[in-house]
Amino acid sequence: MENFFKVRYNAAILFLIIMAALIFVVAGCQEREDAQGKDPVAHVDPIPSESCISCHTSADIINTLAVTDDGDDGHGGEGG
Amino acid sequence: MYLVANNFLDSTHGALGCITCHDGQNVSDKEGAHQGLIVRPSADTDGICAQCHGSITTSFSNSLHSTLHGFVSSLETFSEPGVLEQEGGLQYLYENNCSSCHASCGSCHVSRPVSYTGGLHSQHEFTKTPPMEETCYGCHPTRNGGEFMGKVGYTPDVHYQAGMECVDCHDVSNFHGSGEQEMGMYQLNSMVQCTDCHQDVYSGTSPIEAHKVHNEDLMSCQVCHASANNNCFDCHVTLKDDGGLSSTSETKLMFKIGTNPEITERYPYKYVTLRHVPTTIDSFIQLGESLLPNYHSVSNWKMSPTHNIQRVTLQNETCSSCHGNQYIFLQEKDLRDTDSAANERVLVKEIP
Repeated sequence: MENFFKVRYNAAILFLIIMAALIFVVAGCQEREDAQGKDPVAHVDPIPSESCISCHTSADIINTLAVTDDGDDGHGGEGG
Repeated sequence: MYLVANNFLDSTHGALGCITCHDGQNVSDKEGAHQGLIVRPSADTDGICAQCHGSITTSFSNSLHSTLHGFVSSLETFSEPGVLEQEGGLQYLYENNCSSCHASCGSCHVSRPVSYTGGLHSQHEFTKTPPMEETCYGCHPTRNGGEFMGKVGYTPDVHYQAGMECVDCHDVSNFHGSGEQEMGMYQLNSMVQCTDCHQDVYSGTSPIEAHKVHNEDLMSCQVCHASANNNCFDCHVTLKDDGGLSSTSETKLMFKIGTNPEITERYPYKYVTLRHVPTTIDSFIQLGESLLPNYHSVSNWKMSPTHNIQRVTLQNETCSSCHGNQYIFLQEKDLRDTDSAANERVLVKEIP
């Protein structure tokens, strides 16, 4: 009799562990889905750009070609 | 600076290749490579970003950061509705100055605002939360952004000192838009209120006596907890020989409490903190005569949710620091000859 209760007890514990694991996995998936937003991810084909990359990842090259954007004559932000 | 990090190339966006977003040519000479280059691909809200982030770009296209409707409604209020659709000085002003400020996805998530320094803030890596010091501050340096960070005024905001950033108070919809056509920030339902976090202030359980004796509708939190803010006066726009515009104005750190001229459900306060806006009747005189016919019907002392909150301020140290203190309440003697006649509505005629 005592053995019967022990088996039931172990089965209950096992059931709880499985349920907890399931909840953990499902909630985790849900969170990933939310983080990616509701938008469908469009298929965008990459376009080879190795020439652009070779210059724009080189600090030496970019430093010699550096340009600055036009400012706004000191107007500065007026918002907020 | 347009140096791109190697890490970026391995990211989701980087793997698309430069030309996918920026156009241009995959050739080795600079001029050829830059043929047809789109410097700011996200400037078109229906463009490349919309392909994967359509719900955000749709919402953003109606937001204040995109439409700049705050500028539009300010100019229209001082002039007349629809004035920016008519050829004239204000349209020239708007198109050649104000409209250059609008934000795009890239101007927060990738680059710094042009009006700040331009260039990339993280070597082209897309930052989910843009760095406040290089993006928010880049466009809002002279008032709330600068005051929050202590770059303008006397002391940084306590929330900034505690490590908080703009996005800790401002809901993402304040940046990406609410989905509705937004007309002005004071109309936004999602605009943060101090009591969203400080819920005990008016509950009657606050241990601070001043919170118990001043009721919720009497004054905004800033009346007790803000410091002096940056005020601009007598702005004048100059038309340069090349058609460009520049402006100068007088600035002054001041702390003034006024009467709330427009009590609403969201802003029910009798007393509010004020800020003087730069506009004066002849601010745009170089662009045309009488461009602001309604100037005297709109106050140029405005309600301001000053962003330099302190627990203890000059006006809340003791009861008499505020009560009876004629220096901190806006009175007739504080007005300038160039001020709007409508400032009458914000004067505090009887000092409490």
